[in-house]
Order: sequence, then structure tokens, then C-alpha cells
Amino acid sequence: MPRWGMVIDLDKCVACQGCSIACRFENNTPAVSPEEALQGRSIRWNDVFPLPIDPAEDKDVYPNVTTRYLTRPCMHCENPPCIKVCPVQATYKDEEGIVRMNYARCIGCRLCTVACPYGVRYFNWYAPEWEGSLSEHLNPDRIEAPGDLEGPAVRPRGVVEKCTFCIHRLQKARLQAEAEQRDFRPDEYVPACVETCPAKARYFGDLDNPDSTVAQLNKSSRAFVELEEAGTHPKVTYLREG
Amino acid sequence: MNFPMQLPVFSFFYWLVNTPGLGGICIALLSGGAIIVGSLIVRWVQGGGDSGESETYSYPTPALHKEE
Amino acid sequence: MLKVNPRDKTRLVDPLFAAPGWRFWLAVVFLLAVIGWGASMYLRQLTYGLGETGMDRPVYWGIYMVNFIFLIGVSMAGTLISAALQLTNIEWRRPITRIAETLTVFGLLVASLQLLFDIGRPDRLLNVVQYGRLQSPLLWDANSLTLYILTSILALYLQLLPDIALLRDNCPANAPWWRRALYTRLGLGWKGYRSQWGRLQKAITVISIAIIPIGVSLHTITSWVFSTTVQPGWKSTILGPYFVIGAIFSGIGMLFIVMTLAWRLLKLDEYIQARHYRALGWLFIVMSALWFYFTYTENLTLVAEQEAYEFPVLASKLWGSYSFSFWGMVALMVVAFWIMVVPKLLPALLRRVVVFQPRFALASTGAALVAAFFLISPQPAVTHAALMDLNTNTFGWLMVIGFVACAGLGISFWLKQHPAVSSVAAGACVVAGMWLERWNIVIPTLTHPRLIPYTIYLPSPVEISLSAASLALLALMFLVFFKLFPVISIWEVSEGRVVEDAQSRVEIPLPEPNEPNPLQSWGSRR
Repeated sequence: MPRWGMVIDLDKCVACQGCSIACRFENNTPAVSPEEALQGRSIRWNDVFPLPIDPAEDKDVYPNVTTRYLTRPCMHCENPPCIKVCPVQATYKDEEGIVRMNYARCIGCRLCTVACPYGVRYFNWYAPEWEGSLSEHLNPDRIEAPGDLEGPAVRPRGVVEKCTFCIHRLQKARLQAEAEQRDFRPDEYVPACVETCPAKARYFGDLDNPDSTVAQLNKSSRAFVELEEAGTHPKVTYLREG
Repeated sequence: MNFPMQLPVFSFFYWLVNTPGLGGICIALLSGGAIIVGSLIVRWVQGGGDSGESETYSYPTPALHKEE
Repeated sequence: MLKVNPRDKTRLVDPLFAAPGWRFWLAVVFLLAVIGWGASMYLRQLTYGLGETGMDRPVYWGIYMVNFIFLIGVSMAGTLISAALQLTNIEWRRPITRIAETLTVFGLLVASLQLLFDIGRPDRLLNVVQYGRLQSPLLWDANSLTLYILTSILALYLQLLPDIALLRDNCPANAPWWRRALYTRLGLGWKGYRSQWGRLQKAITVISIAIIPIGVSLHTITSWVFSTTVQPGWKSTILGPYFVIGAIFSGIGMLFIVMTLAWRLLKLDEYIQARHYRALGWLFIVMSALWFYFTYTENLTLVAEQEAYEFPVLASKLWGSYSFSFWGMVALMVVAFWIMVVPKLLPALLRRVVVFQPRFALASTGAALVAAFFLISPQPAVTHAALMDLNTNTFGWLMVIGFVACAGLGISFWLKQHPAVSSVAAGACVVAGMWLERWNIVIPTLTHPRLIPYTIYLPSPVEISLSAASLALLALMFLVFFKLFPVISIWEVSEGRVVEDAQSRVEIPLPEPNEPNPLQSWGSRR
């Protein structure tokens, strides 16, 4: 059973936001109106933002700037604060370590969004809308079972959503292997952001396999995790710049 | 992350707190129990009237229960 | 056939059957209008989504949550007053137990309504039962809240039972049939036999013992919803007891307001008297002191460690975007403490001193207003520059505070003579202050997250309307309930009357003198 993890090399990242856009189209994340976005209601499962986060702290003047960029998917923590507080198990960690989100069961209490220190969980304040013909080109993939709705399926109003490491892609790769009557190999599946990244700054794979790229990079002296002090043990590792 | 989760007792405890539905059963038991106990108490209080006494009181005083 | 004391009959029973006056109907219509407005706003929120509120990312919770904590806090009064005082058999509790218990039940009902407003999918509310997961603090809250509501309804009902029977037996001939049926049905054939009384009082004792830990658990668990997260400002061990203390404090404040309203509107001079205000006032002072202690403790550790993510939360309260609500809360609490404490400290001799006369208070208030106006209003450039100097500005505001303190001194004697007015003023300060305290706990942490830019939260008209409608609903529940059932517990008051009468006839002897210690008196002359 693989344990999925990601490594993001900040030295290679050019902050092009390609991962964010790829994620948006892969996962049918709706764009909100500019006013809503200003109010902080835009949904970006994979966010790209400058550090320091508080603009008031950024006092540097060009050319002496130290601003950095961080790309942030869900950390898929080993010890996720979000799943511990969910009253209905609408969000849970599966055996492969992916923190999943069931839109069909979520009651919208938003305790998980409040509990997540990384802010990776988003709420559907209004029903999602797409402009013009965009609504005709949604990703049809979805994970569906009685009482279960996951993946890129269009979310109803009033539920929480988040990055799933493109769980539908994993499912597809598994089904393909099954159809071809062979064993599934962990390198057959990557999320859309990893596939898109033009700088090849993102690596994805099985952390339990010591020969995998992510496991090797995790041992790098440049490796660090965000907000280590929160005790969440993220499975997304960053490689420090420089 | 050195928590001894593999010990059966801890796995059982985690199963207890993590299984969806058990919380609902807990709510049902608590509220059902409260309703049953409450109505039993009310019935018990009401049943005090079957003792065939003749005098009634509009209010009690501590002396009313002295003899019991 | 239960007989009612003629004094209680004219004061408590007859008004229940009198036709409600125009003031009653006016109040009902007004409250219904506010509730209707709130209902339409709720429909709007239901139709379009929670986007109609002012909440956003990262402020995922707004004033619905603040209202929830505040209202369950207010409901703590009933538990404390009626259960704790009943168990310790404190005589002065008798006329206010009914009001306190009603406050508990209605406060809890309106509080649970806030959760309904807050969740994104109210249609899936039953998922909490179907898929409830015991690890979630929300589920602990659901358990505790259900249990608390059921127990407090039972406590209210048991305490009300003899009075319902009394009303059933004393219905005037022209009472409408449905009220007769209501009292007969709810009265459960209560006759008032000796054995019935014995059982009832045992049952009340058991419920009173049970309800105290349940009440404490609800407030503690509500704090755990926050303190079990890893968020800056929330992950604190003191939040549990802090919530309990705050709950009792705001409960007493609300009780002051409700009991005074009942006293004035229903003319209950005979039942609610100065001694109730005095006794509750002492409790209030104790809670006030505890509240200051906890507030200080909660923030002291944050100041001392100045941790990178936690300190900005506190800084925003001390001098940042939430300084207004934080210092507003502190000011309200200080004022409440002053109103309750300082008049008690003043000896009657000082009455003639000019500092303690209302005209001095008026003059000081005037001076404070003038000084504040001078500091705020636009001034000529030179004066403005001088006033903006940090030393001058600080001195100016200190002067305003000094004048306000003088006004407080001046009003103290007047407050001493009007315990009810001062209690209501202090209660109102505390109720407002405790709402702000809940706000200061919930909102600044949400607006100062770790990996999201800091924001500011302002409630939207929808949220404000729903909050106003909730308060209106609370008031309407009181209005209707006390039109159907007596606001004072008739049987408890009757018992108290007899007990006190008997006690007043007992002559308490002088203490027995001790034999002198032979060692001590050795050598002294007999």
C-alpha cells in the first residue's frame, strides 16, 4: 500500500501559478466574482502566495527584496487537525494517507476550515457558477457511491472542499491497470499540478518506497515542512531555496 | 508520532471515537435516557397522589416531611 | 382543591387571566415584526447561501458562533441560581428561581437556533446523528447541549407543577377553555398530598444535583471546540474555566435585567426586594473578580512569551483592529465592578462631601464630554499639531478618564440609594461586555491565521438581522410564557413566608460563655 507524498522544490519554482490553474480546471473549482474574491472567498485548492504573508510586513524596496513565493496544496498531514474535528466523518484519511473530502455528507459546520492551520480548506459560500461556455467543459470525472461524492464532482452550495491529490486520477490509473490485468505501479499516477509544472519543481510518489524520488528528496538537507510546530506531520515537503 | 497505535486497546479506542454513527448512538442514548428518566420521575411524582390521603397542601414546609 | 393565598392571588394569579392590555399587544406585534424580518433574512440566506453573511476565508465563523456562546452563557444563570441555591437551601432564592430557570430553557433554545443559522447545510443536520463521530468536539457539544436542554426543561417543569395545579384549581369562571385544558393537562392531577410533596422535593433535589455538572460540562465543552484546535490564541488550557466563569457572570447580569423588568412591569414589589439585589450583588462581585483574574491570566502568558503567531492575535486586541472591542469590554467590566463595589464601600457619613453628590457627577461628566470633544473635533492647525503630540494626547485622554472616574465617584451615593437601578446598569454592562468577550475570543484568532493574510470581519445586515431576531424571539418567549404561568414560584414563596414568619418568632439566645482557662487565669485575682 503506497503512502502518497509530494516534494516541492522552491529553488526550481518560478511562481508561474501553472499548478493553481491546472488544479482549477482539473478539479472544476469555480471562479468567483471580483467582489467576492476581494472579500476572500475565492477557491484555490492549490494556492500560490508571497511570503511574508502580511503585506504590511514587506518593507523591502527594490532591488533589496526578499519576497519569496510559496505554492501550497493540501499538506495531507499524517496527523490532520481537520479530520479530528469533523463531526460526521465527511473528511477522513484513507489507508494511502490521502485526506479525502466527501461532499455528500458534509454539513457545512466549518470546524475543519477553522482547525486547519494551513488554510487549505475552502467553503462554498454560494452555489458554484461558470461563465459562458466554461460550464460545458467541466471535467466529467467524479468519485461517486451511495452517500459519497468526491473528486472533481461539482460541489453543492454550503459544503467544504479541498485538494485531494487528484484522487480521481489514482482511481483511473488503478482501473486501467485492472483492465489491462496487471499490477498497479505507484509511478502511474501523479496529480494535475505535478504534471503541469513547467519547471518540474514538483515531485510526487510513494513515501514508503525508499527508492522513490520523494523519499530520496525527503532526506535532503534542504527539506523542510511548513508549520512544523503545529504537529501535523505534513506529507508535502518543501526544498529550501539556495 | 510515536503513539502506540498498534496496541489493540488503542486501536479499539480509536475505532470507538472514529466510527461514524457511534456518536449518534451516544446522542440517542443520552437524550433517550434523559427523556425516559425524566418521564419516570414525573410519573413517580404524580404517583404520589394514589396513597389515599385526604388532606392536601398548597405549599410544603420542612415540617411536612418530618414524620417520614 | 388547592387554595391560594389572597395576596398571591391578586398579584400573581389574577393578572394571568386579565385581558392583556395594549402595551402587551404592542410589544408582541413589535417583537413579531423583528422576528418576521429575521425570518425573511434567514430565507434569503437559505436560498442564496451563507455568502449573504460577512464571513469569508479565513473568518469561517462569525457572530452566529459569538451569539451561540453568549446565549448558552446567559442560560447558566438558571443552573446556578435555582439549583445551587436550592441545594444549599438559601432563603432569598425563592422569588427568582422561576425567572432563572426560564432564562436557562429559553436561552438554550435560542442558542441552538444559532447553530442552525451557522451551518451550511441545515438539511443535513441529521447527519450528526446518523454519522456522528465521537472524536469531534462538536459532537461532545451536541451531546451536552441536548442533555442540558432536556434536564433544564424537566427542572423548570417540576418546579412549575404545583403552580400549574394551583392555576387549574383557581381558574376564574370566564377563563377560556383552552387555558383550562392546558392547566389540567399539564397539572397531571397534582393534588398536593403529603407524599406528592415529598416526592416532588426529592425529585427537584436530584435534578438540581444533576444539572450543575451538566451545565459546567456544556460551557467547558464549548470552549474545547476552540481550545482543541492548534490555532493561535485558542489553544489554551484556561479557556474551559474561563467560559464557565464568564457564563455565570453574564447569567447573573441577564438575571438582574429580566427580574427588574418583571418587577416593574408586573408590579411585584412584595416579592422582589432590595435584599435580592444585595445578595445577588455579592455573587456578582465575586464573579467579577474571578473574571478579571481569568482575563489577566489568559493574556499574561501570551504577553510574556510573544510567540510569533500568537502575539499578533493579542496585539490586535491591545492596540490593533480589535482594540475597540477589547478595551470596550474591559471598560464595561470596570464600570460594572465600580457600580457594584464602590457604593458598598462608602460610609454614610461621606454623603455630605461634595465629591459624592450627583451635581459633582454631572459637572464631571460635562467636563469629560468637553475634553473628549476637544480631543476629537477638528481644531486649528496649530492646536491640532499640539494635540497630536503623543504626550499631550495621552495626557488629554487620561484627563478624560479622570473626569469619568470623578463622575463615577459623584454618582456612587445615588447608586447606593437605588440598588435596583445600579444592578440593572451593572447587569447591562456585563451582558454587553460578555458578548464582546466572546467576540474577542472568536474573531481575532480567525482574522490572524498563519498562512493567510490578516483580514477584518464585519457582520453583514443578514447576520445582524438574525441576531436581533434571536433576541426578539427570546423576549417574546418570556412575554408569552409569563402570560400563561406565574413569574414567581407561588408555592416556594408561600413556603418561604411561613418559614420566615416562624423564624422571626424564635428568639435566638446569647452565646454560652466559656469557662476561663485555669492556666490563663493562674495568678490573677478571682
